[in-house]
Amino acid sequence: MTRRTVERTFEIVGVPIRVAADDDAVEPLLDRVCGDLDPSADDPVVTISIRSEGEGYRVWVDETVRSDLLAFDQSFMKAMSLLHEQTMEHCALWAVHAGVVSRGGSVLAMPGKSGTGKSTLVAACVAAGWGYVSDEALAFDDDTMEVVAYPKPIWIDRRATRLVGVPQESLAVTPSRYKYPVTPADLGGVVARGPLHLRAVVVPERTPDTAGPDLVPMRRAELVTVLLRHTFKRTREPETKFERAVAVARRIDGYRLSFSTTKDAVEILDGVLS
Amino acid sequence: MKIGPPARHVRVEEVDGDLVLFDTEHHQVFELNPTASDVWRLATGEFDEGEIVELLARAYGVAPEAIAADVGHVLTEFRERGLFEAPAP
Repeated sequence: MTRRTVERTFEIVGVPIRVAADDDAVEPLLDRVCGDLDPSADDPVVTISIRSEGEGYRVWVDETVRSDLLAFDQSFMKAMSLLHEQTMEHCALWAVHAGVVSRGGSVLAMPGKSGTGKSTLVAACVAAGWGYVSDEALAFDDDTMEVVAYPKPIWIDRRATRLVGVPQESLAVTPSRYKYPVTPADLGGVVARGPLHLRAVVVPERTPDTAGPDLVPMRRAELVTVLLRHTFKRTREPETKFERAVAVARRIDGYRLSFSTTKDAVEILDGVLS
Repeated sequence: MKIGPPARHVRVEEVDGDLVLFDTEHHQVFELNPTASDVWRLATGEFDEGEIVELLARAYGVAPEAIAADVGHVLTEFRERGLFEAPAP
């Protein structure tokens, strides 16, 4: 079997990062998983590489090995995890773990831990016409409130892909059979481009027994805690982040959203930015 | 025993009337409800717990017994989280 080295450099929230592999089987996966990331002609700050070794693969960050010997698909997933880690490591913007969507340049961020239904909600918003900003991080300049898209795909399980109307043939190229990378195009949507400004934060909580969706304004003090608790540790100077979070909380609106069905949640979110 | 003052590693901001505390040593943030905010404002090292209860009761127009337990609970939280200066040996 002939293997060809593949190298791609992306600019992700202002950070040029290269992904390399000595196996061209990586190409369709990169097309699928990184297809919405901007290419970069700059020298990368770091290179994530997948290197074959005997019957398996190891993942490296520059010249430091960062994985055990893995099957190819596993090594790709590890590389994508390290791509995110290194992006956050080098990101000069403030980054908050959140799903992020936009309408008309106004950005709505939904911070939350994994498993709260956040990704499915983001996918449903995109399917309903919201612009896609990120399913990973709200990356923004807290002086200007300008948001930079981080459009890695939305990773959701098979059931959620059906719920939000992803054509099932779109899922053929995947490094994982547990969660599938879904792009805005799969949802009939687009990545949000142009000036984007943070306007609101909504903390979603799926509560199966609730009668209907309930959107409750959040006190700004609570919003400060939400921003700080979901901030990626590596991205802000600890000595200023508290005062900066307070300044941000004074400039945007915050809400708590409890919902039982994704469809109801999307409908109520439509009113947040209006 | 006098209550407070706040530990030097605790920063405070007021947002729409609510206080938010940030523990710079442990990188923890605490949002205070209105009563806890009032207790914190009085935890300057000038008053003991009884005096704080009296002052707040007068301000709220209630009997001291009505708020003593809540104030005690809030102060315990503040102490357990290390938000006050350690007492001098």
